[in-house]
Amino acid sequence: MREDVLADALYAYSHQTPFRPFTVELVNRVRLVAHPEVFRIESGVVGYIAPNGTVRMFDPSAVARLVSVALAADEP
Amino acid sequence: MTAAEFHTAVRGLLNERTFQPFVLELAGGELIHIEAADELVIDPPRFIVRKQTDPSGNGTLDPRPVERVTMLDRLAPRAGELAYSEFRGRLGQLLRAEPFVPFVVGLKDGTELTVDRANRLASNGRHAVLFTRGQPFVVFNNSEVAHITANGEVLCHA
Repeated sequence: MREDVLADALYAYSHQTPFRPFTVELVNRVRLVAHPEVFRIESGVVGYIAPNGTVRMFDPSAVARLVSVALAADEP
Repeated sequence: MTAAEFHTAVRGLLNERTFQPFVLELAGGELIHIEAADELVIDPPRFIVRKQTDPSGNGTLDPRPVERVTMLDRLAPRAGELAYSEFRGRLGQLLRAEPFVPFVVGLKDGTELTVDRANRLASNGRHAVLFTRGQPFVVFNNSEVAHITANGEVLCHA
C-alpha cells in the first residue's frame, strides 16, 4: 500500500462513527489489531505499538489491507 | 481463587471479540498484566501465562494466589503511580486536540519526552512509544510517568 493510501485508510477507519476496531493485515498475513492511536506514519515508515508494548516498524508496502473486526472474524 | 473460580473469571474476558486488558492481582500485591488474549492460555487443568515482553514470568499459573481479576481501566493506582485511566484519557485528549498543542511526558528517571506532533506518539493500553526522527524510539508505560505537562502547566502527575 502506498503511504498516502495507507494514511487515508487509517484516517477513515479511525474516524468511523460509531468507532469499530479494525485490523491492519500485512502481506505476510499477520493481523495487527488497531485503534486510532496505535499506528503512526512518518517519513515513509509505519510505527506500531502492540498491547504488550512491543514496537514494530515497517514499510507501508507491507500492508495488504484494513478490515473491520467483525468482517475479519467472519473471514478465514 | 480456586481453579474453577479463576476459570469462570477469565474465560469470558479471553473470548471477548474486542479484548480488553485485565490484571491478576496476587496476594502480596504482585500484578500480572494480561494485555492480549493469547497471553493467558487455558489448557485444563492448567493456566499458562505466555508473555513476549517478560518471558521471566512465563509458565503455569497457580490460580490460588490470585485474589482478584480486575479490568485494567478499573485498577486502583498504586502509590506514586499515574492511574491508567488518567494516562489513557489525558494522552487521548492531547493527541486528538485541534489545534495540536505540544506537550512533555516526564518520566520518573528524569527523562523528558517532548511530543511536538501528534503523529510522533503511538499508544496502546498502558504502553506508549515516542518516535523521533533520527533518534531511537522510547517506549514507556503509565507506571513510569511522573507528569504530563503542556504550556508549562502540569496536567497530571504520579
